[in-house]
Amino acid sequence: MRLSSPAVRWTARGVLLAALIIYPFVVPQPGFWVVNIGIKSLWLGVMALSLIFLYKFTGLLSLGQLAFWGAAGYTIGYLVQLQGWSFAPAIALGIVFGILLGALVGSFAIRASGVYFLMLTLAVAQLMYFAALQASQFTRGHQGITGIRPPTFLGLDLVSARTQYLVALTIAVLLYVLCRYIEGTPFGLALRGLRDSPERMRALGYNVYAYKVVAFSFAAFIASIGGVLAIFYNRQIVPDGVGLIRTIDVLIAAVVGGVISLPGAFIGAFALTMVQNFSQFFTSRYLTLTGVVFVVVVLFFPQGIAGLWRQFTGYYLWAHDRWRPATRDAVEGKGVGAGAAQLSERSTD
Amino acid sequence: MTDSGNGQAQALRVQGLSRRFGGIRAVSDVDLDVEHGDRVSVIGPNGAGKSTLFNLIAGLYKPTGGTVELFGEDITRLPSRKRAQRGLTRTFQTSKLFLDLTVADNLYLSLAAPPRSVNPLRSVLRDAERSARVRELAEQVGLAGQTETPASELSHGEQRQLEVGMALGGDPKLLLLDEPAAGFSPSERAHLVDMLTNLAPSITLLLIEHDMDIALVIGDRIVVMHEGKKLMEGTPDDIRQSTEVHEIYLGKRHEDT
Repeated sequence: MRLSSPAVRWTARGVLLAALIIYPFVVPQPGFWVVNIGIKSLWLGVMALSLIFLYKFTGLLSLGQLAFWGAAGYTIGYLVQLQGWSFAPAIALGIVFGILLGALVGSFAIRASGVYFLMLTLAVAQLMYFAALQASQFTRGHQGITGIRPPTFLGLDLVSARTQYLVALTIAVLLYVLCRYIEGTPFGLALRGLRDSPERMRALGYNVYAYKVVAFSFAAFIASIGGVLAIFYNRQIVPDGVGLIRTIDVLIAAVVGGVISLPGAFIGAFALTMVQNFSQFFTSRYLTLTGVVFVVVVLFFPQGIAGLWRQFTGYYLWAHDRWRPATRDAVEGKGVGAGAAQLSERSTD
Repeated sequence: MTDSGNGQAQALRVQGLSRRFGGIRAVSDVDLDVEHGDRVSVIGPNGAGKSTLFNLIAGLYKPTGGTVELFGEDITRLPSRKRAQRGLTRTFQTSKLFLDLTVADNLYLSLAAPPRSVNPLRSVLRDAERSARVRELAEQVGLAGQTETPASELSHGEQRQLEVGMALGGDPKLLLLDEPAAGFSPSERAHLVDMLTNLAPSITLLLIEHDMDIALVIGDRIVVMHEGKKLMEGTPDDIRQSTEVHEIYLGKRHEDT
């Protein structure tokens, strides 16, 4: 029953990590299982992580993360393929460009909230799409920048599927650990604080606006790294890569995985990749199928796959409590609801 | 009239402060002087403008007229966070806590706020100095056993206690308490009065309180608000003996119950 004890958790993490490392060496058809499923899930997971980080810590739901993915991807494609740069400086510049674009977009988008923020960031993603189509001297228009050959870094040949998978896995794990670390720092606490009560944060002396811009830029940094991984995977960057459907893919991966759960990013990306790859065996309408999965998750499993355990233990406790009304009353009496009711009775002015 | 010329400026000086909401004058032409270390209670019936006055002083609302000076500096145009950085901390009438965070993390955020320089990327767990201060604060406001409880799971009274703890965590020079005892049980009230009486004398206190017992015990000076205006100001005894106050405030309170 002590499923939550640290020893059990660390063992589970170790086993999972070992399984993910062994994975490319044991699966059949590496071209499919390692590349189409494995690497695709990892970079899509990084994109979902960027969205979930922002949502979990600041309460802002962004549809614009693919714009930073595209900014990094196009920068690398342009510098390497059209200007003949080597990869290392192109990747560094691509990530820097992604972060700067994030800071710029963040500096105005975070003034909005809720659905307005959602629409603003969607507009940014669409701007990136049309810029990719029209700025053809940088992007080669609708044909895109193609034929990009993944480089060899420090003896790691990224053309090899296994190597590329392991590099993507390492980067994904590092980003995940970084997000988890930030959760326990004053910066992470402040972000969670301003999500719960921006007014209180101001009353304590925090600059809420600056914190949000930094958080948004950090999410753009994660998305830019997703863009780097994706360009090795796709070996090209085309406008459709930053189009509306891909934008929605990131949202679906995050929601299916569990939009307030950091591991949910990768679970959701894996689930979506599986659905998209296997749906072709029984239907050509994979977008419809994806949409149906999305609707079902939103309606019945609002905490996503990562929240299933909690959701079902919640049902169990609820059913259990129905037979013991006395305990339930005791719990409710101590809850926030009771406090709020008391407060509104007493409230003055 | 005041001694702002000779260096020792007042903690708080409010002059002609007004705020309209549409056609309603929530606060109208209020003057208030608070010296260092004063204990001032603001009382008045529902809708008297007490909370609005507070929010104007704390910077949540912008006034439509008048000025606010904090330690001799005109802060009328400063945002809340800059006022907080100058030593003005507050509680909210309706608790505004970080509900998903634990009591300890709520208090930690009040300790780590600017202008204190905290390394934003060093794990909170390794900040031994502030963790010790968190435990002290928790004890001071009566939450010592609950530092690891999420704020959302605290009872109403405990949430109010945490509100006060967070205001104290900001190292206040001027502490604004907006009905800290709202919804308290008698024992929680007693604890609050005890805590406020033992507050460091260097902290200047401005208290809004609906409960006359607390307001008159804590305050050395009482300000009575009525319909957005300052009706009178005096010692607790002056207030007890004022028929006017009895009519507008105490009389009304009897009808309520």
